[in-house]
Amino acid sequence: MTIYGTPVPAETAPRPPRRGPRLLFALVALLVIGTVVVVEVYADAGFSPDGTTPRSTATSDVPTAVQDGGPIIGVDGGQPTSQRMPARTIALTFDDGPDPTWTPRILDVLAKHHVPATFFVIGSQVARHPELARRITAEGHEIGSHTFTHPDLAQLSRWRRQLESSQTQLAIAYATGRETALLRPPYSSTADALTDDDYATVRAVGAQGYLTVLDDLDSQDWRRPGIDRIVRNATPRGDEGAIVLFHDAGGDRAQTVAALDRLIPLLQQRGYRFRTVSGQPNPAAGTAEIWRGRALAWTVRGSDAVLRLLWILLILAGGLIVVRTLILFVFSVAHARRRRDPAWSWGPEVNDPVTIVVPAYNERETIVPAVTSMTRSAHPDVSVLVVDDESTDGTADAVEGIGNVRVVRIPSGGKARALNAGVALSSDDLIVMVDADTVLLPDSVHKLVQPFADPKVGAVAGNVKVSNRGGLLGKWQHIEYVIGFNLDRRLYDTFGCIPTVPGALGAYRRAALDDTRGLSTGTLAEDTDLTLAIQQAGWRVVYEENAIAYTEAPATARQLWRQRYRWSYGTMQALWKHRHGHFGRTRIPFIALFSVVLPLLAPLIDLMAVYGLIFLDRRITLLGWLAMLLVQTLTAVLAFRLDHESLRPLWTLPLQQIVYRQAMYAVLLSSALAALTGRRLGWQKIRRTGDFSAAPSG
Amino acid sequence: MAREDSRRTAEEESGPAAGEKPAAEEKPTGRAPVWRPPRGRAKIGQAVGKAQLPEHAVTGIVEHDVSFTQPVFVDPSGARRRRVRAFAYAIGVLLILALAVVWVSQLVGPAAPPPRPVPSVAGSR
Repeated sequence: MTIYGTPVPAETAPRPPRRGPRLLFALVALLVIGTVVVVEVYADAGFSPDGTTPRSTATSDVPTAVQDGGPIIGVDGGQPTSQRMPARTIALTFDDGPDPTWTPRILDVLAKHHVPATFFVIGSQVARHPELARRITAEGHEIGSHTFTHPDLAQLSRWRRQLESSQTQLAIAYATGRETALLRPPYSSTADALTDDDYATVRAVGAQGYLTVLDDLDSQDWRRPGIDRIVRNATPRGDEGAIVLFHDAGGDRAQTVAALDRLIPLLQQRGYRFRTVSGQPNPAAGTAEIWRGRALAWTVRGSDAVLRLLWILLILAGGLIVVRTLILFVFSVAHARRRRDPAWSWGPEVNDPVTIVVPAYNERETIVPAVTSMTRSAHPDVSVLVVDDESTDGTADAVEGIGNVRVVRIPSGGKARALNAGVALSSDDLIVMVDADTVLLPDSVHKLVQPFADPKVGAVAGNVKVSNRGGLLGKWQHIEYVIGFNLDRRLYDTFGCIPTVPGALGAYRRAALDDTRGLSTGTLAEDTDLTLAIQQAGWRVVYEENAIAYTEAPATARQLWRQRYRWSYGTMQALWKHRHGHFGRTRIPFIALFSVVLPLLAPLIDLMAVYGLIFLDRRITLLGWLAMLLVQTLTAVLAFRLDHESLRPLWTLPLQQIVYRQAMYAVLLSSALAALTGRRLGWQKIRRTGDFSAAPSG
Repeated sequence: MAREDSRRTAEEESGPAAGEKPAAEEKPTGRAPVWRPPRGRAKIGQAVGKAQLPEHAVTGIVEHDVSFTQPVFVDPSGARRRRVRAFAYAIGVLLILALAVVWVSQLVGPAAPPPRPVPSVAGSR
């Protein structure tokens, strides 16, 4: 690919973009994303140790009075005070809610029997479903804290414990306008089961000013042991008062609902009263707490929304990639089969004279082997026309004297104008455009022009390969080219919407070039622009995979960045420019979906893989990522087989997933931003080394 | 833009090509000026042939449309860029404010529970 310095009037020369604001925006974006991630992970208990770690069973610190005392424990001046429910009094308590499915059904049962209960809610759930918490207090039930994220409080530091209870308080204040002095530590049970660790938690919670509420009877409903069993577990002996533990979240609670419907009348018949744990309504919360709670709830729900959006986009991208891979496989294999059929032919052999137009700008290193290879073309009548675009390194002098080559020097005007001048200066009806860094095989030109046997064909794309495959960068581009030319282009060919006849090797019918009034200078990808214009004018553009050219790919990361920047920006320009008309309306969306939208969504796969590896199930994330790699590898293997290429460079494919792909995202994003802001771009020529090692010599 | 059907001879060339060329696009290269008024018959638009021409080559003057096509997406007035930037700044400021509110509201100090309910329950040690 040849890149030209475009003449830019001095007064509008591109200013280098200021780095300051960009850095600031990046910092803000990072802070926002960081906050979202921290909030999400925190609210989903990613930072909360669960109660599964083995803990000490020592009970030497727990005073006997507490062990034998009731389930409501306060700390007064460092001294524990225990209380229990009066005789024939039941406090039904529900942990882990509110839950959008089960909390309303439990509230319905309670309302049916006109009994109050106490709900120990998870703060993050209250932030997500404030309307449920509001319904709990509105229907006369008591609300207590079960911490914000359900951690094992004994394993938390002091400030984290403070944060857990404080944020639950705020969430309750926002949702219900009330506050609570009751707290049930997660993983707690009865007073006589308190270990030293549990007791430390009780003391810490008491020091914060809360009453710890344990239970007398555990219904064990979370095990789903059957309705009878739950009723039996929750039934007190004799006339004892009791705090009974149920759950209104954490899975299917149908048994809990049914058991309540049976238990309440049973106990009412036995003369039991039902009341809340404290027997008093929750006191009203202060305005400051309500507002802080509002900020908290919005943060949690906002973060939820951001993450949900990302997942939806990820699923969309994943689905698109799967669909794309499938249609690539089906159609490119079918395309290859059709072309390999011995009966396949474009029509009568085309032997019309051909002019090869070679635009050149400072290509001294590469132009001699390139032009020499062109002069050896096996086509009956080939002339080579080098258009030197005011090179300063003596490019024109280097090729003068090679037989059958015309050299024309024109004033600097860019590649599109150089090509237009070349077209105008040739009189043949078939024109092949080849970059000055591209080496042809002897039969390339002849094969390339065969599709012109079909009078509707206006342009033909050749099969371009990377000649310098020595380094990692060369191998990656080689893989990319082989996939791009053997799968994507076959697919586009099948659907009659080839987006680009590559500047490195393409053939044109003069009439088609006349219809489009030549190449335009309006975009940075003049080859894509011309290809789309020719198809807009009603001509067919086809792909001839047997016409092979070896081009020199950028050898350094910087050059590659510039080249890809120009390609992706130019492609967007060309697609936008030709969006009207029948072709534009029917085919451009298809091209844009797969060449712009999908690559813009693809980074999500890497972002979510990192997020999943750190915070979600590592095994599943890794398996998902490896599955993606497998799909990519299969795609690459198919492309290489279709092109009879050696599979050896494919060992670099896993590495490509980690470095190269992300760099390409950055290019695409950056050029999309440039398109949005309307910034003028300069474009630079890449440095040449003249490495044609992979091209057949001779 | 070059087209075969617009080939003209030197005699038909009415205005000098130099007039069409925006002055800003000229680059000082130290070569003989290309933009002198056409005099000879060998001038080929902007192009100057150096090698000998094969017999079938074009020898007439080729119209070379030098009108500068405005590049797609480029907004020469910079108005769009300013609008996008103002929008980005507004969003950025909003986000910073929101972040500040979130972090300050959560870290300003613990929300204390209300005084413990009067033990209306039957206490027992």
